[in-house]
Amino acid sequence: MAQAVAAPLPLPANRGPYAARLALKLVEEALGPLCRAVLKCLLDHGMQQYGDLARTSKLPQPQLRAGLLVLIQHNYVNVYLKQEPPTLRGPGPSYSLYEAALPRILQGLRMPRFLTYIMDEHGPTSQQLICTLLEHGRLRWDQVLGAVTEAAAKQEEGEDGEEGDGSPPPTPDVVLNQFRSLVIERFIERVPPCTLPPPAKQVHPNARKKVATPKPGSEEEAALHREQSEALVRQAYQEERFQLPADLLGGQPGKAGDEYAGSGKAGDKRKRGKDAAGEEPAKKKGRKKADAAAAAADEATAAGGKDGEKEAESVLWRVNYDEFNRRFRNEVIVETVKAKYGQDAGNAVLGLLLANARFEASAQTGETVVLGVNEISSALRRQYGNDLVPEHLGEVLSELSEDVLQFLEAHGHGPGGEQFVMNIPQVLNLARLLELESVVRNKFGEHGMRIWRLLFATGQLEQKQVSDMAMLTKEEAREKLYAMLKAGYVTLQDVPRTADHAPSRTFYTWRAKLEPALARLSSDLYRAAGNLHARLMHELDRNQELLDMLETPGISDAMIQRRTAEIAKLKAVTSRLEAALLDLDAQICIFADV
Amino acid sequence: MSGRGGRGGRGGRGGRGGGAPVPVARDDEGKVIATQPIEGPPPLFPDIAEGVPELPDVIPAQTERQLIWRHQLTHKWRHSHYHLKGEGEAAGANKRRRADYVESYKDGAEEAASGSGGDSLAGCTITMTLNPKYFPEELYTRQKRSAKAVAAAEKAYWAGEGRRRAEAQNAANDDLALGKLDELAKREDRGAGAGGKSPAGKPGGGAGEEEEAPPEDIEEDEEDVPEDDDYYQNEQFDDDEGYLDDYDDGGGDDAYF
Repeated sequence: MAQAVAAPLPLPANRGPYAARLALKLVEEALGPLCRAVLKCLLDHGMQQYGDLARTSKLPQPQLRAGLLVLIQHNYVNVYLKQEPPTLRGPGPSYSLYEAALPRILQGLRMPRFLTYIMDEHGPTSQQLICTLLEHGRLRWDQVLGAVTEAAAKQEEGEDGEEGDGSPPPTPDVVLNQFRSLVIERFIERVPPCTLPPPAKQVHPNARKKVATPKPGSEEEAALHREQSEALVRQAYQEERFQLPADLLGGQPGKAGDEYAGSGKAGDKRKRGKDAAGEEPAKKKGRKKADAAAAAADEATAAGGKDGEKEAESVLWRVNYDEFNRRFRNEVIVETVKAKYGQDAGNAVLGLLLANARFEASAQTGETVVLGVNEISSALRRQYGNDLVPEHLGEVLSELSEDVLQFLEAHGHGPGGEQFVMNIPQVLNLARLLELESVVRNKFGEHGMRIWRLLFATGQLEQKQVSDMAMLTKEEAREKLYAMLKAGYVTLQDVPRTADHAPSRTFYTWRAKLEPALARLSSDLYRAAGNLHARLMHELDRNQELLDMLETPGISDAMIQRRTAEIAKLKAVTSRLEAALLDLDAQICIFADV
Repeated sequence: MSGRGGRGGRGGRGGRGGGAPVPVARDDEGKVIATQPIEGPPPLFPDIAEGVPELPDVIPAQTERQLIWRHQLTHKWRHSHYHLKGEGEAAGANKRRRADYVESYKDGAEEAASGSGGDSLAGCTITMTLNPKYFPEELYTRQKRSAKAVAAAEKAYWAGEGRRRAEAQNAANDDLALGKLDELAKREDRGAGAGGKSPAGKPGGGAGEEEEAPPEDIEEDEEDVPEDDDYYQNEQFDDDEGYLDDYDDGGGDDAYF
């Protein structure tokens, strides 16, 4: 098992038709059938220009534009600017390309989990900030502030004009501080501009060809320069992604003004020293110059303030799902290590992940940086105090580094004590493997799981060998194997002895590989989530009249009491379906988004 | 052959009476694997087999909190300006209704209200920051403006195209003239070398002179022909139809006087 889990697992590039089906359902539920139609066109035909989209969607132009704007507002569609290479006639044309952001749409199921996490970690004000941004997709800072203060005022009043819990609404400064901390911790990011170039094509490692250095002045060199410039543009956005504008940082834009005022005064003194005879004219000139300098300083302050305000007004903010996924990934890793190696090992790994947090760019990273024992313990103390720090942290980490799984590697000694590097995909693969085994057990029983584990450990076996080694009858082994083959969790390989592939002269070997099994499980999870959502919508549509009655303002209590049983039944059914949907999403997070 | 046909016919008749052979699955030892007889199409909603986990009676507290947030978010989106229903076919094409559906007054009033037209983005623009940095202008700027820009760009392009075409034609004419001079020079050399061909040089020279005139005519025609008119694009194109009409390039048996 250790050898099979050693290789890092690449995430599936294409999430499959079930993921697209679920995405369409989620968008229709939130944004309506028009946006669903636009998104369907994008999913079916891929990245395209506006004209192509108008042709393929067959929607009226105003509706298409409205649907696209709403989808872009909610960050469900990415926009890129494609610049064609220049021709002999002049610069090439540029046009916008629209692409469905499928991962972001699917992670819409995880929004309630984001909100509960933020509430537990940062409090109600941060939760309200995140909720406002999730509701509207992307907003300016002043819009966010207005929405949060309005929501807090409503909460203070309470529903139906009753008094609330008595807690005062947060002041703008408090909201600003919380916003700053969320940006610094990368929960909120700047929205990428629609002038970014399209993402670079990802070529499979097996398909990469060695390309010789292009000749100077050739078309290949020009293409290479264009790719490099596009990469620089993308890098520029990554650098400013989590930067706060000057106005929100609370800096002192008057520094430049102070310098102006100071130079005016110094000039004034020099003038007096030089021209002793013409003292009054020099004084007047100095005063004039000081006044002019002060006026210039005021203008500079005003201009700097206006620039800061303009920058703050022109920046749009949105929730960074990647950071939330990274936190959830860390939780999964810590739980897996804790379950396998104990509490101390789990705490040590938690400290390692906390210390590595500032070096990570995304949730899908490989190894951590080299970290010393002191760094790990200080990261744990800073977050949780001394309670969670293991007594002999170095020994715990050394024992983990000697484990068969080999997910932790010792890197000698350094200024911070012993140094270690953790292979994150290794631990994630272990967590995924445990989930996969539990799914196989639920679907095919204990015997099915025994067969799958046997094939996974040994590589490939014939049917007779499987039945012998798994201690099962031939019939039962055959049934389980073919059931798993039909579900896609095992594969069958034929090894013919003759060229005619006659079955009597062919070996048939069974295999259980981790990659295809995980991809199949990921697809099944999306399919199950889509089915659950369809059933939920069916139940809500069937009782739409009851829901409309409940939403009608001023409805009498007597009417509600008359239909209490129906309401309770509907609530039980929808709660179970939605709870199952959220649990599925927690599993999808492990397999598809980290 | 008749025996084979007869045997096949008898076998076919016998086979028809007994029914078509049903394919069977066999295991490694050759034994037939018993399968359920197919009595018809599979049921749409088959009974769920054993092994389905039991539904929990109590939903965890964490999940309850998440459910509350999910309800709030979906409620806000459904009643917000972002929820676009669309008009006409986009809204009604895929609308499924139950067989026992009875349209109520409220449904009819809602459809009438939605079908009355109006801007789809009436309320959304309040919260949307339609900045060219984040939203492409083609989605919210008027078509007239872009049509003007396109028309101006086209006009500039064709003006430049005509000028470029004229320059190219001048260069070609210069080449033509130079080429004809070279040809004349070669013919004179050939004529000096072989005396019989000197009379042919004159018609050739005359033809060259005549052919020299057309470039001037063409230049005059170019002034009259509008530059951006595609109809006259191939005016100067030589399609070799009159290649053998006026003169022979030599090698023919006809004599020129």
